[in-house]
Amino acid sequence: MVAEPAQRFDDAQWADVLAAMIDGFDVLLLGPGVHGVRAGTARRLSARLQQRGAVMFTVAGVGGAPGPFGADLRFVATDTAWQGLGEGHGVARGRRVSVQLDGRRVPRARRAELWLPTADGAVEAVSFTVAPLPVPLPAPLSVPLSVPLSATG
Amino acid sequence: MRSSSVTRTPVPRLGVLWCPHWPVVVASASSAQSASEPVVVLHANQVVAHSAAAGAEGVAVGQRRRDAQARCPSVRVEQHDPASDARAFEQVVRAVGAMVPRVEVTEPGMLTFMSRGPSRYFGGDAAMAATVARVATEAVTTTAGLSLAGVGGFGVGVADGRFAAGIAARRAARRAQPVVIEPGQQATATFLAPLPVRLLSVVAGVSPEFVHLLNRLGLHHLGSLAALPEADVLARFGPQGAFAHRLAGGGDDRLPGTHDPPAGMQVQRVFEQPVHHSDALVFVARQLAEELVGGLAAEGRVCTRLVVAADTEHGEHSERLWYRSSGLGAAAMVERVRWQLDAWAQHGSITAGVVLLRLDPVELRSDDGVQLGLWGGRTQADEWAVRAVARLVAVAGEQLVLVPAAQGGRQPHDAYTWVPAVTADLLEPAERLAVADRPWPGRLPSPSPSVVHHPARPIDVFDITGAPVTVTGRGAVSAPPYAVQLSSSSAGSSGHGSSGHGSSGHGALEPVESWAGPWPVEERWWDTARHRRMARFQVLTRSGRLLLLTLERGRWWLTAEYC
Repeated sequence: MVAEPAQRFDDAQWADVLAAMIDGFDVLLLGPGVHGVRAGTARRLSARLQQRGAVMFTVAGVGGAPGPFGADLRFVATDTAWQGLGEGHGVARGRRVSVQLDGRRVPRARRAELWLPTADGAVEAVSFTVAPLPVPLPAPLSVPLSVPLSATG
Repeated sequence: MRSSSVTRTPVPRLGVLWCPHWPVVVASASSAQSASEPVVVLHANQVVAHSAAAGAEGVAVGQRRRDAQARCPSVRVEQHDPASDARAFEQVVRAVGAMVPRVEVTEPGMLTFMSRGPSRYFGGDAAMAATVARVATEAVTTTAGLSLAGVGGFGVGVADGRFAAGIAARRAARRAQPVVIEPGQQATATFLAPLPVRLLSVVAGVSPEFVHLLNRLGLHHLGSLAALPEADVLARFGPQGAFAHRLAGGGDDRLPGTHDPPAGMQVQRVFEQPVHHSDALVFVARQLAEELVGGLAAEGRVCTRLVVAADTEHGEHSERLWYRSSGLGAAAMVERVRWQLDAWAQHGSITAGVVLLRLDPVELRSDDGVQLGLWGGRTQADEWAVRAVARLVAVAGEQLVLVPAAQGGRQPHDAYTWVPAVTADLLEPAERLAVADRPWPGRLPSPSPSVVHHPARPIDVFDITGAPVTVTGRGAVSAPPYAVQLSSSSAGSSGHGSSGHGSSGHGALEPVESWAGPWPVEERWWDTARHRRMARFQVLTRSGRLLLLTLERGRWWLTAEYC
C-alpha cells in the first residue's frame, strides 16, 4: 500500500502523512522525496517510529547521504552480478549481491551473499558471515530492496 | 416441505427492478458511441458487464479480458467504477422512490421494493411493474441523459421472496416486459422447478462449489432439489443445503438467523455547525459505522439492511435503504454513504449544509463470518492499516493514496495498476491482487524489473561499428549490441536517432556486457489504430545495470530497470 504524491509535499504535509503511515503500518518504504523533510520534523517522526515499533526504509541520496532520518542500520550492496544472461541468449535468472550491514546499532559489520532477487522474485541467502572486516567501502549504492510489487512470480 | 414453513413469517412479496449490465450504461455515457457497439466493463481483469452487442459475440460475465477480446476483437474495454455507477443510478432510485415506499438499493443497477401496497394502488402487479419499468427508463433516458439501447433496458419482476423476484427480473430484462409470478408458495415452486441450480449461486449467493456438487449428483434443476425430503437435505448438506432447499421450494429466502432489530439501534450525529464538505461527512460516517458495526459484532450480529439518512439545515432529507446479503461491514457502509451523498449533491437538490447523519440498521442476522485470525487471515493490524489509510486520504487527498491492483499485461507497466484506496476493499485484497492463475502469454519472465519507466525513456543502442542496432521483420538482430546511451533529454523528445554516438545532450556511453533477445511481441494485430509491434531485449551493461529495452518502429526505449 503506497501513498504517492504527484506534486511535492511541503514539510508540514510530510509530517502529517508520515505520522499517519507510522501509526498504521509496521513497515514503511520511502522514496527519495523524503530528503526534503526538515531535520526537526524528522527527529519527531523518528521518536514516534520507535514508540510504535515500526521500521522505515529510506533510499540513500547522492553520494550515500543518509537523509534527514539518520539510519540505525545501513545496507550497502556491492559486487552485484546478474546471472543467466549470455551473448544474445538466455534470460536474467537472478542476481548475486553482497550486502553489507553496518550502522550505529551494529558493533561489527556483517556481510551476506544474497540472491536479490532469485529467479522467482524472492530473496534468498547464499552465505552469511559476521566478520571483523576492514571497511574499505566503495561508494554506497541505494538500498536495492525489491518492493513486493515486483515479486509477482 | 410445506409444513416446515407454517411457523415462519409469511414470505414478503417483492418487486425487483434490474438493469443487467448497468456499468455499461454508465460507461457508454462518457463516449458518444452508437448503441450497437460492443462494450465490456472490467474489474480485476474480469468482465463484470457487457453490452448486448458484445453478448451476441459470445462475451459473458466472468470471462477474462483476453477471452472477451478473443471472442470479440473490436470490443471497447472500460474500467469498472462503482461510485459513478451509483451516482448515475440515483436518478432511477429517485424516480421509483416517488412511486413506491422504502426502495432498497441492492447494488447500483438493482432495486428491491415491497410490492403489495403499490400493486393495490396501480391496479395489480402487472400494471405496477409496467409503470415502474417505464418510469425507470424515462428517468435514465430523459433526466440522466443515458442510453439503455446497448443493454436491453430494465426488467421488473414481482414474486414472493427475494430469490424468485430476482430471477423474475432477470427473465423480464431478457424479454423486455415485466414478469409476474402468482403469489403463494406452490406457484413460486412451480415457476422455479425447471430452472437450473446455477441460479442459486448467481442470484442468491450460495457457494459455487455447492452448486457444482449438486450438478455432479445429478440435481440439475431446482425442482429436483426441492423434491427431496428436507430432513435428508439437511443431514447430507448441512445448513447451507437446507437453505438452498428452502429457496428451491419457494420458501422463505431470508438467511437463517435473520431478524428485525429492536428500535433504538441506530447511531447518529447532529452537527452544531452545518457541514458542507462530503469528505468531512464521510469521515463522520466512518466513525458512526465503526461504532455500529463494533456494537453489533460484540453481540455476534451483522447488519444486512441499513438505512442511511441525512438532513440539511433547510430541511431537505435524503434517505436510502441499502442491502447486502453478506452483511455490511464498516467499509461497505461508508462506501454506501459516500455514494448516497455524492449522488445527492450532484443532482442539485441540496441547498445547505448537512446537520444530521444517521445510520439505522433495519435487518440483522447472526454473524457466521469473520473471526479475526491469530495467524494469517484478517488481523487487528489490518484494521489499523485501514484506519491509517482513511487518515492519509484525509491528509493527502483521495487521488494521492493509491493501492495496487492486478491488471495483467505484457509490458511491465501493464501488470499492475494503481487505484485510489477509497474505492478499494482494503480488508479483502485477494480479489484485487489476484494474478491470473494461468501465465499471461508474452509476459516477461520472472524476476520482474523493479523500476518501471512509464512513459519509456529514449535510448540509443549501437553495434561495434557505431551504427544503430536494428531488428528485421523476421526477428533477426542486425549486429550484437555493443553499447547503449541514454538520451538525457526528457522522454518523448524527437529529432535524434541514428546520428551516431557521442553527440551532445546525451548521457554516458555504457558498454554492453551481455544481452538477450529479441523477444517479439505483437499486440492487437486486429486493430489498425492500436496495433503495436515491438521487440524486447535484456541488456546488462558493464557497470552492472540490467536494462529492459524495447525496440518499436525503429526507436529504442528504456522500458524498465532491474535494480
